[in-house]
Amino acid sequence: LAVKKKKESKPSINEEIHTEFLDHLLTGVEGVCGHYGHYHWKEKL
Amino acid sequence: MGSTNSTLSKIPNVEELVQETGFTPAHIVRLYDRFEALDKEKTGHLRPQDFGAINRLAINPIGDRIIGAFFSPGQETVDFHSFVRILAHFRPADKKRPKDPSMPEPVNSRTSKLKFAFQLYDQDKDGKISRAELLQVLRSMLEMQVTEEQLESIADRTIQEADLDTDDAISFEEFRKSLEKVNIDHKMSIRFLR
Repeated sequence: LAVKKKKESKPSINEEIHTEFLDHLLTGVEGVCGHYGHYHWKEKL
Repeated sequence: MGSTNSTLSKIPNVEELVQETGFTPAHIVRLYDRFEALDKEKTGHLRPQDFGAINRLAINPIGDRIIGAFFSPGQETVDFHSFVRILAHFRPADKKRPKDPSMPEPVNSRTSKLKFAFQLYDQDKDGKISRAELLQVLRSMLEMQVTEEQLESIADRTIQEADLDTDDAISFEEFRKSLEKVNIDHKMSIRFLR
């Protein structure tokens, strides 16, 4: 059962790549807005 | 700077912008102050180099693509209205406002956000993310961490996984499908624009 659960929650390659892409996109757009938000701090960590 | 009202009076067609983007006048004033700060030559337009001067874009692996998204094809400047219209994609969805079928799809809808992201991959605007286009993105995001061979293998696996009609490319529908489980409103919204 535990194995099955793990399999279900694993993100697909597409999810992983596009999510990383969107993180960069949001960091960039926050930069355009001059706003130091969630994504800024995420990158710093 | 100055008060909200005095800034608002400087911006032409504010009502139209509020209607079109869903931003409040207060948001628009904040964005106007930001636009003026970026517009160092005070021309009322931004050029790519004005965006390039933003530190976080200069070091961003997809910074050039993000800057490119602000400029219509063939245009070398962006005015305040276009600037705000692009940023409106990143406004969080309105949970309370009921869907009005007579209105066009709002610019901050899930589909519209996904289209925006898709177009950043699809640089030749043929409606598909080709293997070469995917490789370019992977290269800029993962450059230091992996070999070219590994990049190609990741690109192949990504396309295989998403490509339902086996044309060796990712269409918008395939892109949307591959992100079905991802909360796009959460991933593609800037909370301070709420």
